[in-house]
Amino acid sequence: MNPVILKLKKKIKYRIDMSFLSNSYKDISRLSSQIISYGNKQFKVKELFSIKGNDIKNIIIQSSVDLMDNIGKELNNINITVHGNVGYSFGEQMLSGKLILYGNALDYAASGIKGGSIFIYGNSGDYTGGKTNHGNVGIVDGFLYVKGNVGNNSIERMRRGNVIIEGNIGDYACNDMLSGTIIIKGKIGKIFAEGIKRGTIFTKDKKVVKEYARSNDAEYNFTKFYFKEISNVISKKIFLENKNLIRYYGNTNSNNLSEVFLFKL
Amino acid sequence: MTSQNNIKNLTCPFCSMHCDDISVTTTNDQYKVDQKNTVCAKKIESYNLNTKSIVMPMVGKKVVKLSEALKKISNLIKGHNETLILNHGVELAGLRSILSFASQRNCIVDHVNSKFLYQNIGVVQRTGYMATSLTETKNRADAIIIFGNEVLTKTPRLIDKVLTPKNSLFPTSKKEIILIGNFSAKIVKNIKGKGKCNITNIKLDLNLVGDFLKLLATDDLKLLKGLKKSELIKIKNILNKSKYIVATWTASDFIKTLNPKKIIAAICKYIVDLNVSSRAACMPISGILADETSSQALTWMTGFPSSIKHMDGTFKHDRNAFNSQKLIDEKNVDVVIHVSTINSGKLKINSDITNIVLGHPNTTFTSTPDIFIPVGIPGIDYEGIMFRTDKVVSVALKKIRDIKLPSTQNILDNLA
Amino acid sequence: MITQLKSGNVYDPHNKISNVKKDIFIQDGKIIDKKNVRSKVDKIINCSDKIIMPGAIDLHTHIGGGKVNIARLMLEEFHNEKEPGYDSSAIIAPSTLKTGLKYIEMGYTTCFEPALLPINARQAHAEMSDIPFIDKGGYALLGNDDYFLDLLRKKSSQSTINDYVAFILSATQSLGIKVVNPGGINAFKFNQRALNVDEKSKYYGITPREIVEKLTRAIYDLGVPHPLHVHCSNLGIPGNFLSTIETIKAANGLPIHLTHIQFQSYGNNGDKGFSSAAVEISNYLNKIENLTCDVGQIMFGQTVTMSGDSMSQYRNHNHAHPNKWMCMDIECDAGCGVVPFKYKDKSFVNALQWAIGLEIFLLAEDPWKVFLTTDHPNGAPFTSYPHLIKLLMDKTFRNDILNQLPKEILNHTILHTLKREYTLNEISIMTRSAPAKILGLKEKGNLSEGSDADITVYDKNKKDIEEMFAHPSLVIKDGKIVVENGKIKEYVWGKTHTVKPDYDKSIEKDLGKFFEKYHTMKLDNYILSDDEMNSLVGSPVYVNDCKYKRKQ
Repeated sequence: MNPVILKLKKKIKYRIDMSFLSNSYKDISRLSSQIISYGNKQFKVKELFSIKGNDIKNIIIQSSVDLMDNIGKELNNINITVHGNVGYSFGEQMLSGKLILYGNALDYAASGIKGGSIFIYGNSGDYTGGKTNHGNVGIVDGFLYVKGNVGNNSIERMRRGNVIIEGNIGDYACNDMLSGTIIIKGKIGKIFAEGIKRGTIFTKDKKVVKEYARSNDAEYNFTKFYFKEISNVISKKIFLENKNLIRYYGNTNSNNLSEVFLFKL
Repeated sequence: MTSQNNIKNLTCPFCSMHCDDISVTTTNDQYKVDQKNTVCAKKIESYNLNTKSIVMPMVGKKVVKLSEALKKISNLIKGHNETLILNHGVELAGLRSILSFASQRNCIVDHVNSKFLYQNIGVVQRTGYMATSLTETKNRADAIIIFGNEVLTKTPRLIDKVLTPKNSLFPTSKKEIILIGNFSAKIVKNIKGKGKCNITNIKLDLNLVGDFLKLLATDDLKLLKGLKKSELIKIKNILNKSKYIVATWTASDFIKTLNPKKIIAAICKYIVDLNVSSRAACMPISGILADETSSQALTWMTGFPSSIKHMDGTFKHDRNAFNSQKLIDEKNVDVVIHVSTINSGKLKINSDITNIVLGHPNTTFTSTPDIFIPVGIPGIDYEGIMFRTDKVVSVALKKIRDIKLPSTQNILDNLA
Repeated sequence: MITQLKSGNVYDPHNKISNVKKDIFIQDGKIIDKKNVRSKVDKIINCSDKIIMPGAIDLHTHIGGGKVNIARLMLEEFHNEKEPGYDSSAIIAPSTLKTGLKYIEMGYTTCFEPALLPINARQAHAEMSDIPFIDKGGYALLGNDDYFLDLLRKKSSQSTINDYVAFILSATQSLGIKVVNPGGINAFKFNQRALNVDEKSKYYGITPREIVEKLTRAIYDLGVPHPLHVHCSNLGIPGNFLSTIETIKAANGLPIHLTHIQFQSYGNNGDKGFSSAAVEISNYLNKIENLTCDVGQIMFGQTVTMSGDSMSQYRNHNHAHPNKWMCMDIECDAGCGVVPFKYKDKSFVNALQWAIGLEIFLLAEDPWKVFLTTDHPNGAPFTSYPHLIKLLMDKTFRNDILNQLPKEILNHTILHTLKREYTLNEISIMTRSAPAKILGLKEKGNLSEGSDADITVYDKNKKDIEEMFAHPSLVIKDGKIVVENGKIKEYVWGKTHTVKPDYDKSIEKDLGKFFEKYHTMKLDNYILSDDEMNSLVGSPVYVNDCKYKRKQ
């Protein structure tokens, strides 16, 4: 079984809804003859994409462009790897499976995910890991990794799950957090972790800690720190270098159950 | 031959208050508002035909017959792959036609004010919300908090109709009006001049509204940037003794702030919390350019308020992908059909794509559209239904002049 | 053109026909007698293994108006149903198109929106006229508007009140009058959080009893066929069966219709303080002649509650699931509240609510007095009617579900002891003939000559009764075949049913002044004319007869 490789036949001009990839198909012929909309007309998938391979549980999209929305939306038990950029709602409300993106994502990537893991080896737009457009639910569970920077209003109302941002994060990040763990290695924008109730955040940005948390100066033992997927993502080196962290708890709005950790560098 | 006609109780289509107490005199195809002191008279009269009005269909800068223009549009749409219908304000019948047209040609439909609309809809979709309407506010409210001055500049009649009414059903003492934001002295004077009310004017950066409300909700009054403690105590006292508090704002005012959704949510939460022991409600002002009409009609016909596309046999909604502004800026559509029956501002035309405008005769543009078809104004040239800002009241618009212009519905139904 | 439905098994309770092999002839949208068939029969449909009933009538379903639209807007995340042939809107708050499709596919041809706010009438009718296939109508809400309460406070004569009621029926193009939490919605605006039947409201000093008395009288005097449609005080509160009984008494023997009575039949016994009072309520129902009710059965699952009763909806907002809700005070007219809710079969309270509804159905001796509703979408969406019918017709099925519910409820309900199974004829009565009778729709709910040819044909061979009622093999609306074997054949558009009792027009003068002074719109704009209904709103008006004309 070879993974299915989809490649656009022609350059596209209009936005295209790629959520059809998340359906479960019996075989590759069902996928390639699936009818989808492009512009105001309908096409079979094979008319727009060249298709190779036969393992419909493993999909690779080549030369993706940012007009392709909803890749991996409500994805269930399928792995998709994307080379190139993607449009809005990448992996929105995903249930399980794995999404890997070698490129940038527009807004609402990984918003409201309920499981599975998403790796973005580029930048990601606003509302990354945030609330979905309509509901009041952020990341419910799952794992999100972003190598680059993420936009504003990201990781809002997170309930469970783990997030690692290697780059910078925009304004209003991590608001209304309920639980879960977030690591942010870059700089943090304005208004951080407002309304946080519980949860754990690791950051290097001293400014943030100063503004939003009170120190209790307790040393935190790193061995308690757990991540299921961590070894794939972050080189062990970084973690070994920072054996000690300073633990802060609470902020002006919270009930002292949340924690913010500062890497002691 | 001149024929003069006096029309009492014109229902004004031009803003979301939809006042129906305006009387006009028509002479041939011109009309004049009789009440000279009505703040809106000038605006209403600005839709009169003048030398610049376009009353014949145009292709580029050439005058053509209507049938020719319609044929040209049909061909244009057939030859292209993605059409956006951009609503700048139209009445119910027009919207029904837009949707039926869009469902036949798989078009995207969006309202130009969607981004404001979503700010207020966000509260309905995410949190608890207590709302009220104009007549309730007029009769019942003893304290009205106004956030931002656009409430009064966009719907100026709010002042005499609701804030300082001559009569009210329930004996209340003077209405307490609390202005929060940056209000000009002129507006404050204007309200004062209208009648019995006390005004408390708090100069406050709208970004700080959330913090301000948080302070009000606690007993521990701390200082807030640019705010005196005495002012805070005064407002608290007013609110404590009030029996029915109404908060009002326009979303477009908050869009300039850092996090509009958060501010609106903070206001709503504050109001909801007041209801534990007292009564209070929100009354956001929206519906500029008939966006409330659009939101209501689209919601009942498709389930979604705006930003929809007909694809795979049904209407789908995506706030990002069908965002008209981005689609036009990034040229992801071929043809834009602008429908603009009550907009007095300049229509933004991106000349890199094909633009078709169904607009009232006085429509102006940033650059000439490919095709322009003049249509009548609902409430002036033909009858129609529009929705008021408070969502529950809809009004019947009348016809007051006859300049033989088709309605949006006529045009779209002929195209289909 | 004449169509013949040949030798079907006909249920036409109005004409005392129950399971009789009979031919039905249709001409020009109406049913005609065999003896009046004068020309050639153009189309013969063999119905020998079919069951034929008149088109079903839903007399209480929230399908149009401001609150329904708020629910559609609020529940956007549920609008992702992927059923081919329908749009994605959620069945608990469906689009107008989906409402029409789902109703007609179940063989429902006439539906009534029970909470039509007079000030919101234009919108409600505009929404309903976008619902394809079905005939519709609404009941105007009265009893909480400041004008009416002021009339009562001023001790205005019954004839003035009658004029006002008649004016409202005519101005809002309604078929009846509904009162929701009499006086309570208004009292809530004055920060009163509860109002019992004999409790005076703080501001007006008027009791719900007086409101019900005056309105039932007005409707009787005007000869409006549908009795006052009452949503009682204290909805959903344990022990509220007492206020329900008091409300029944307030009608003084005049006709009265209690709606979603399931929510009004709660006792407060037991250690949880919540029990069934279905027996007490049913005793009244069976005893009092002029009393009718619809049940408002609940079903387990996600739904949304919407009501004009802002007082009770505000009280319930803490139970919202998902956690969002909206209440609104409206135009010195009424209010509304929308609270999403999930009925859970593991919950003692919800399970007991389910049992109470069924108890009321099964204890009702006369199917002409009790109607099948779920108060869509408050108890469950209307698409659960076939399931509900199966619950009523199949004792084993009912008990199987009952056995899965929390055992504690058995101490508070007698449902497991009820052996009754509804017959097809009784179902036909409670979903067709009885609603038509109580609404005064002479040409609906029966297969007499001259009646509208709204007909549902079910497949007799289907084993599962739920499946049979969910997918009729043929649905005929106004003589046209609109559904055949589950496929839509043709789109037709129904009309709006109203009544227009005569009244003394001088009331409009006083109302005009009231609007001028206190409202933010003029009376002219409040009144919906027949012309406007036709041209702008988009639905033709059909005026049903009142029992008698006004005495001059």
